[in-house]
Amino acid sequence: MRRRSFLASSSVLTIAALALPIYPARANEPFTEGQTAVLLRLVKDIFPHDALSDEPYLAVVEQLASAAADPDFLQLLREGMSSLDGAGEGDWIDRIEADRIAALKEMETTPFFITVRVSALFGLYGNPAIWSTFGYEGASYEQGGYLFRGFDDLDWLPEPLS
Amino acid sequence: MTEFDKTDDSVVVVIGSGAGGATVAHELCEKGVKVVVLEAGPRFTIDDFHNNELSAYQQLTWTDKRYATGDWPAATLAPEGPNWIVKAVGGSTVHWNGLSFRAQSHEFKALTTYGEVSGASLADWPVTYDELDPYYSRAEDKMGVTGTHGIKRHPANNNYKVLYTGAQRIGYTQISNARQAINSEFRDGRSACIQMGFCNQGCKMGAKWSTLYSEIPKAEETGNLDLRSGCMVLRIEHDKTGKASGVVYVDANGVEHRQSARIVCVAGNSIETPRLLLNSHSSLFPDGLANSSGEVGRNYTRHVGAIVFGEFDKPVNMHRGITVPGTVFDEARFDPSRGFAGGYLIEAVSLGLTNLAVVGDASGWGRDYTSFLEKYDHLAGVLLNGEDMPRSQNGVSLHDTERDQYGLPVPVIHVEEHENDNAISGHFKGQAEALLDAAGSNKNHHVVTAAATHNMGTCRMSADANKGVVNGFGQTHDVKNLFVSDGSQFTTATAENPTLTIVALAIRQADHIVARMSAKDL
Ligand SMILES: Cc1cc2nc3c(=O)[nH]c(=O)nc-3n(C[C@H](O)[C@H](O)[C@H](O)COP(=O)(O)OP(=O)(O)OC[C@H]3O[C@@H](n4cnc5c(N)ncnc54)[C@H](O)[C@@H]3O)c2cc1C
Ligand code: SF4
Repeated sequence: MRRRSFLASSSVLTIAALALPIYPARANEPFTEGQTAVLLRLVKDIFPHDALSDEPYLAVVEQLASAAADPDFLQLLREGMSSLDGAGEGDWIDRIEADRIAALKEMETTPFFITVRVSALFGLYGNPAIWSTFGYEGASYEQGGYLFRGFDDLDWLPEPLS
Repeated sequence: MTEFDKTDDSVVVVIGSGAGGATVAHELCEKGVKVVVLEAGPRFTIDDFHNNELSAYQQLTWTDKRYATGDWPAATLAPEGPNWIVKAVGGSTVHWNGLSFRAQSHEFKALTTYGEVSGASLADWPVTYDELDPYYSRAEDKMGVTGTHGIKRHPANNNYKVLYTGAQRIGYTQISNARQAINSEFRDGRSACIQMGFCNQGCKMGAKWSTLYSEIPKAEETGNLDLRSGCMVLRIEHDKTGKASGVVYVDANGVEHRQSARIVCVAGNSIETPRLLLNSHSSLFPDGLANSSGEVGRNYTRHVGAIVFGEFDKPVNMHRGITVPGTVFDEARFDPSRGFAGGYLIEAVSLGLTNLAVVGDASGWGRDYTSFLEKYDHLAGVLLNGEDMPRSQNGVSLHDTERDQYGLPVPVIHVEEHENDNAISGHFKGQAEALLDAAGSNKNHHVVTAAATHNMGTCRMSADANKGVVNGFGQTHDVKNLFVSDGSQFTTATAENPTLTIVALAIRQADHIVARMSAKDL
């Protein structure tokens, strides 16, 4: 599968070319409410940050839904979600975190997992709305760089003798 | 704008407008030589640059199909994007960091200094440090390298403070934040750096030297430069006597043209340069142009790389300011007692959050990984730049069946790492951990670097025409009026970042071309 081989090579330097894609407008919802909830849980389990609200994760789910306009992609996600439930007792989404993670660990080299991981990677960490939570300040040109805004404000080590 | 006729066979055609190509073109133009530069990528202005890692990558990067094979990290982590190179006017000087070091005298005599290393194709350069010395000085002046020509260095930023103190505490003495081709003050029509922190995304201040806004406009002012952007050269042609006679290229609209030439200089960076020579095979040159030695595409080097991030109790904010703000030179020496030939530099480095998340661990997920990313503003990074061993089997070849959008065979970049490379990265990892710990790191995180930023050696220089592609001036042994003007010429990698040497060689090559033209020898 074309998409699979591309996504499997999960390096910024190949993948960034795919980031920020312009997705076609969606004619209809590709996922049921239950599937959407599974995808949300999945991206949160892959990159859990307790300080983040659901919003940036939902944005990733939204991107996955848009990409699912491609039938191959849609099938990959649907099959992947049903295989999640297969491994273990009860529905994957209803299990405790440790059990959900154990199930994911089992499938971390599958095209499904890699695809969701890579999509979440770019969708989440490429989203400027989350950066301040991490202390990353993003674009700085408009503010005149950091020359007068703390490029050298580290004060807990001695100053270099230049 | 100057335009030369496509049938004008008195022009020098330069392929590529990066560090090597634009420099040789500018130097020739200043001396009254007519030059046509053909550049595959588009022409941006600094206003077009993005302070955003993803969109800048998409805007600038050469993403035409390539494959990586062998056992280097790129073969698994970036199998279709093993080299990080810009496709735009200015080439990789648009996204480079500006570190500008001279290679050391002994590194030009790698074979003599290190001796035979089994499994490596070490050789001495046919040019010495002393011969290059005046050209290094001219390059430093041209590029505005801090700490040379009375140019003051930058103030220390946060990330450099960590490198400096850690290095000092473990006994290093050669620690510096000088030698940056980044203006600390207004100079040569370019602004001073405002510590913006997006050096790899294109400097929106134009403070960092790039041929895009230095060599090229200056060359255009002479009236001797015809720069054609969006023009991909497909092959170099020759006449019956075997002299280069012109190039065939396709413009941004897909229309094919032929430009005649008196001399051709190839500077497409070390993947595209050998690829173009291989693609320019003919009945006279069945193995590729200028390839009677069989060395075109071989001996590829890319520096041994790795990054270690330390997590600190207090904030560092490494993203504030110059991306690679300083360097430790103590390990660059020749000292076989460490268990390897060659040496390495330790450089402070920062990544934005997006790139950190992507490269921090190529398959990372879960709380272990996210808790590392949550330390973002408490991280400081150190980067390895080590001399890798040239090997005959490492290099660029043409794919048997796959073609790119121009119909050209896709390049395959093959690397089998030498044990010496692994010895260098192992040594670095230990030293980097010690350095970060000494500065107060609680925990260190190792990052594998996949894509090669420094690409060298695929048309190596050699005094002996059977053992290399070009002579000490970058002139091909087989085709008198064909030159290689980029990092492909490097006989060996040296421990230093390559660009200052590329620029020095390009200045020297231009002087040589002008002298040979005056002597009616070219
Ligand atoms: C992130 C990053 C940071 C770096 N930092 C440093 C640093 O601090 N110090 C340092 O010394 N080096 C650094 N480098 C390396 C430096 O950028 C390169 O060594 C240097 O730019 C190489 O010069 P070049 O002339 O060989 O090729 P380039 O500068 O890459 O130029 C090649 C040009 O040729 C064009 N081209 C290729 N094929 C064709 C064709 N067939 N037809 C027409 N045009 C063609 C390309 O589009 C490109 O514009 C860095 C590189 C990266 C990726
Ligand atoms: S830190 Fe300086 S050199 Fe780097 S992008 Fe900003 S202004 Fe340019």
